[in-house]
Amino acid sequence: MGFKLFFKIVKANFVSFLAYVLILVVSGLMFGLSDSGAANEDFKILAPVYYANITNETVDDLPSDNTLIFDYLMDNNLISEESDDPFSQGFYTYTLNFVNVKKNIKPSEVNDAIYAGVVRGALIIPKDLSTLTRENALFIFHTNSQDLATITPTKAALNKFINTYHDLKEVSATAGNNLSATELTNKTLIALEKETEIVYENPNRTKLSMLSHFFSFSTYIMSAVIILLVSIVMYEIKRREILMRISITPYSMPRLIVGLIFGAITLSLLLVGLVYVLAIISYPKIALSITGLYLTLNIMLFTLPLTALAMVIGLVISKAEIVSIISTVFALAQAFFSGAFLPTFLLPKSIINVGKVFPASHTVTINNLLAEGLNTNGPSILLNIGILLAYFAVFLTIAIILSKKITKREG
Amino acid sequence: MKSLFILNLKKLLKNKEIVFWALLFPIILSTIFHIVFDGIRNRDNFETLKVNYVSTNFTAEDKAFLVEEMLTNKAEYIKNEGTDKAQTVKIFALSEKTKAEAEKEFKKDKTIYFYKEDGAFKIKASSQNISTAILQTFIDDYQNFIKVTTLLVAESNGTLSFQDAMNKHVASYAYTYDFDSGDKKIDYVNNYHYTVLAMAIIYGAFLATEQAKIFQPNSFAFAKRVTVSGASRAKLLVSALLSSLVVQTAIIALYIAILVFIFKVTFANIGLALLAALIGVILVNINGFFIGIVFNKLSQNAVIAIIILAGTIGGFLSGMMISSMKFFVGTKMPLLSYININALISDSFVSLDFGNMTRYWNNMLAMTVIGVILFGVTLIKFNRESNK
Repeated sequence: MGFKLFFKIVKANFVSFLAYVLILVVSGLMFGLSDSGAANEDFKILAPVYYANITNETVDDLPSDNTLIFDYLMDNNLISEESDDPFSQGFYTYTLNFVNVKKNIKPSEVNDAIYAGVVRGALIIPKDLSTLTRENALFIFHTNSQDLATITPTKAALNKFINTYHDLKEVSATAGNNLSATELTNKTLIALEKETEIVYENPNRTKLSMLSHFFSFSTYIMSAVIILLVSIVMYEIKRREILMRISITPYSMPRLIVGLIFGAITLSLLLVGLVYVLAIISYPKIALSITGLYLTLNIMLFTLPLTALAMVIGLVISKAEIVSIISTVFALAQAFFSGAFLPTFLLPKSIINVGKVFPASHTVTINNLLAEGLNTNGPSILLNIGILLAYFAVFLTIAIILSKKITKREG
Repeated sequence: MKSLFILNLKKLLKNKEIVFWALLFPIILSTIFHIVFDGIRNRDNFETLKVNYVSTNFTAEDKAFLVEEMLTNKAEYIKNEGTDKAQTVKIFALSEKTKAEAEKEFKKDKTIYFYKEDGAFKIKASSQNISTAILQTFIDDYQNFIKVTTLLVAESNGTLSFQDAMNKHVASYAYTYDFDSGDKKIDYVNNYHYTVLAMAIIYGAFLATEQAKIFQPNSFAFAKRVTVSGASRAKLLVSALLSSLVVQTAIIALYIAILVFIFKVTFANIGLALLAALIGVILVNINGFFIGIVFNKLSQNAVIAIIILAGTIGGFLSGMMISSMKFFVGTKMPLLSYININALISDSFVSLDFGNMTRYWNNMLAMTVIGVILFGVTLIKFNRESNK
């Protein structure tokens, strides 16, 4: 009876449930479609690269205000996607050491892409770099970000490439060896090869990070849906007329509560299952690995304190309408404070500390630790699991005490 | 007419839940955004990077040029500290360690370290991050320098000594070719506030649907009383619409004032931003009456769910939860952006930030067209009901 009753009440709130599930599905596919995870390997700058039709004659036409250069090039149709100049092509090849080229972004979409955080900026290389004199050689990095620390080493390296090319050109010309642009470019590329090796603790971390971020994001949907539905169910059940109706049925109260808890667990498992299916669609290899399984188990664990908390909320509130407010505010606040939306390294420490009061904060921490590697993070993971279980025990105890009080009062 | 308007106004203001959705909810969200995002606004957040090194296999040149000269003395960054202020900061805070000490610190707080093994430099890192990327560029630069100098000597046909070639290449570091393009004043954190403002405007539909209940005598007792009172339906419609418009305009004006004066959100053109908000308020009120009158058989649960759905999913598609979503929808499903009221309103503010007036007016046009269509359909249904 309790199980059926649970889903009967859920059915009455189907539109809200559907809205959140829709967000979960779209975001899941979105995480999968996004190539930023793979693109950010080695912490390269994610940016589209274009060629600009700039010659020795037109270089002075560029606006004196540097910030307007990209707009000027766009407005005058000077941007193109290809170049057959060996120096420009070599420059592009060298750029790949520092920049993950984001394809399929039109120049007119660049500002929106930067604003949305899809790319860091756009790199523009002259189309015929070998024909430009050393004084006129240039490249443009277009971005709206003030934080240029990540871009500065890249710009230094690209400056070095042009300098090496011209140093080599001057030295060989003085020695009577007039090397072609292709030869100069090839020799420059060989001399400037990347040599320093980075030894990563966990080589698969990038994709794991994306997957763990998706699982962390799903805590938002889980929270909104579970609090909304479980609280509404608990609110409905505690109403006097419902309690009286139940009291005259042959079903016992404990049996009803077991049925309700079973319903809540089934709903949580359905959501966890959906998250896992979306993870498999987006990251098949990693989602099916042991870490993918651990991430899923972690989300499953998260539903325990969440369901117990939702029960407490349902037993405390006096108006059904308040549930939608609480679920929306709680889910959003928890998501922003715990790092479910934004990676925790971007959040100030004070926010992270405040966020620790939310159960999702510990789930997100476990996800991050799993992505970093199980070998070194075992004790920290166990500690956070312990905190989540403690939350569950506390909320469940409160829920039991409250339900006993309500039953006693109404009885 | 005046008394009808005042009556409707009082009825609306007494509904605390609606006032919560319309005003307090966005204020709570904006407070969260303000606290969370204040530290990551569009500013230069660079901090000196802590790096350890193990010099066991380093040559004398490695120590003198790489560690002392390049990483300690030369590695500096001009940090942008806001309006015309800049400060030169060291890029690295270097510490020499034994391999065991470096590994211990790496395990403790993920401090990266570099060392030399089999003649090659290696960096130990837990993940791809800014410290690793910048350090790698510097060490590569050091190694490339030797190779470039050797190449110059080889290509000079004996005219340049190693020292001459080195001097020439060092001198070339004075040449720079990079141009910085782009408006650095645009603050991308604003989009979060814009989407919440749009969401607050959309939740104004609660006010309108509440007022539209007056035309549902079969569902609400007070609507039945109004119907039998003989009051003109046209006057009732105008007074109900006006009262919800007035209350929501006041709520949104108050909320914008809070955004500007408390949360320091800067609109590029406050006049046009207010116009966008006003058109949004009018559209949303029309939308509320459209739901209340055209779909008057819907349950209250369904009406609330539809409005929350429009606000939440609309906000999600406009980048409120994942910022890249806005770009994804805008480029892959542009039509969705033109029917998503949240996107139309929030993108109007973004367009103003970028000075893209064509896009701003396109958004205004789209909102007007949607508003006219919804109002037309609502009036047709309203007239049919009146004729009955």
